[in-house]
Amino acid sequence: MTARGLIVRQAGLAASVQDLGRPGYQRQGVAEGGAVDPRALVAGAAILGQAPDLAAVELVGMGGQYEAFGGAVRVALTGAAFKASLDGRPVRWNTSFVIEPGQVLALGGCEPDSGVYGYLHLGGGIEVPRVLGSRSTHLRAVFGGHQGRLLRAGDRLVAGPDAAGKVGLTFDSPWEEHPKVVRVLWGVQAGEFAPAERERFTATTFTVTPARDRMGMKLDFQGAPFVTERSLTLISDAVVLGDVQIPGDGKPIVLLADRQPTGGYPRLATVITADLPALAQLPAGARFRFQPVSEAMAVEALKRYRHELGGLAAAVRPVLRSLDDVAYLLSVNLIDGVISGDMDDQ
Amino acid sequence: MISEPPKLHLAGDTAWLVDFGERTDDAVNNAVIAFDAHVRAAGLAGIVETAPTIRSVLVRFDPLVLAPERLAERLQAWLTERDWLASEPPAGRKRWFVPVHYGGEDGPDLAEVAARLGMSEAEVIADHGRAAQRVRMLGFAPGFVYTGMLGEAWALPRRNQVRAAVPPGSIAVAVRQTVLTSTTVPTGWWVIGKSPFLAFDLERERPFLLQAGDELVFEAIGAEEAATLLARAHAGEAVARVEPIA
Repeated sequence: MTARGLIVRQAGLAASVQDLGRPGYQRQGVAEGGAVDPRALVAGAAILGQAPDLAAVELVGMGGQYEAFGGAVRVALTGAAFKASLDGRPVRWNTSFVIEPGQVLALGGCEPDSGVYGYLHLGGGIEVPRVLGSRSTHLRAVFGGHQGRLLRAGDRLVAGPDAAGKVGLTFDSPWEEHPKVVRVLWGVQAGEFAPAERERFTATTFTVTPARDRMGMKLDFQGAPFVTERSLTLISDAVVLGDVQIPGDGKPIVLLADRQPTGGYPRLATVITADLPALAQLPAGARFRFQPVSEAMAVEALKRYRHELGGLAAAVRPVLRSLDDVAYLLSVNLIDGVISGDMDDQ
Repeated sequence: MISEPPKLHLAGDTAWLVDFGERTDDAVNNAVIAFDAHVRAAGLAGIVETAPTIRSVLVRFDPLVLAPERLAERLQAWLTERDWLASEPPAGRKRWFVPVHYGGEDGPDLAEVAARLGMSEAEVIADHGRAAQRVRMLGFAPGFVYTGMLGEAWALPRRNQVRAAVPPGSIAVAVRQTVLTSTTVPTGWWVIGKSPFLAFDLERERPFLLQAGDELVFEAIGAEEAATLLARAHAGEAVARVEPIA
């Protein structure tokens, strides 16, 4: 069987192949990595009716252009919405469709205020070798994903075997966009900060800055820098996803997927697992507060978060609801019996 | 030695950090390595992974499988089970003889380190290789190794300027420790040399070679020998002599 997939005609700003990450190697200094917004990764798999551990393209800033080769390719777009068209006709986010050979999917800039990280999924996932158990790109160490690097024009993304044939499916997102409150647990070094500093941390409105990447996001705020009571020269220690570090300038950095496994800055708080993906999707300029919660509340929130992820596959439904939808489906190869067999599911 | 009992800190909703104290001595590192091995061997359902550091053990877990307070009870019970600070070094430790080409383009900070230490460059090289240094932690980047401790004279602060990218194999010093890199990384440490030996190399049958508790002896080599060894390293050889520590 000949290879089938997408050729990158024009690369986005920082598109990389990511899956659910590479846990288990923190003891060797290997970043866990994986999609910054795992919700979007699971959602894309649900729409395409496939396993959530397959790899997709993570898009940042500008999406790029992708042309199908070797045969028709089912795709889905999730996460932050980018301007998207297929041979010039608009396509919808959070919906599966088909790219016929020679057709070009053009993904422009991210829609204002939509988020930061978008995901382009292929039916069957992206066939790249698993390195240390994962298909995620470790950009710093240059391995995993597609040759360990960001995608470039000319790269061929080969799709895995795609058993399911359904397209024209979408889902209704259970998630609140752009939270104003992000829940945290106090961090490992919270005790190094005076009670008044901790109180100020919870009362402060933070602004997301453009200084961000897959490793972390820098926050800004009005007021004096946050300081520890004594001057700290911490021995480098293990860090975790969502740690809120306070570096020398007193302005927090929230650690994300590609965080280095050890660090020496004091950690004032840690964002709860359930709230981290939405925080990571906040566009520059967005404002929010941190709210300390109990460990029990964090676990309760995690339970709900996992329940929502687990329910995505069941929440998938056909796009078709109105005449507008028919016109839309006609424009993106979805009529002609490709989906007819699935229409009576509802 | 008087020391505080180890402390448990919640590190987010999916990890406990078992902290053996703000110390960098062998007793603490032995305790960390022994406790990490104990937790792993227990094989408790719900533990996702553990990561030992210089002075702590991170225990990542799934709180929906293993409740945080239940895991904390188990960790506390294990901590009081014995005097971890009296632990022996781990079994099967190895001593690696790591060839280093000091100075020149491979060690751009050698001259300044010599000036700060009040030594000649030759004395710095000799002193750096004088005693075996213990691997205390792997962290920061794949195969990024922290070793120590060097003599008091080596208590250098980190550089004010971070070098944006130093190559794999770089040997850098600060705060009485040496770090070895295996990938291209930024660093604020003083780069004094480069080794053809890589602790992490995916091209090799065994990608990771070093373990906490191992010892490194740095051996000065010339530029020509470094080039020869680098070619052999690229062919998959470890290019560091190794012997068991009795």
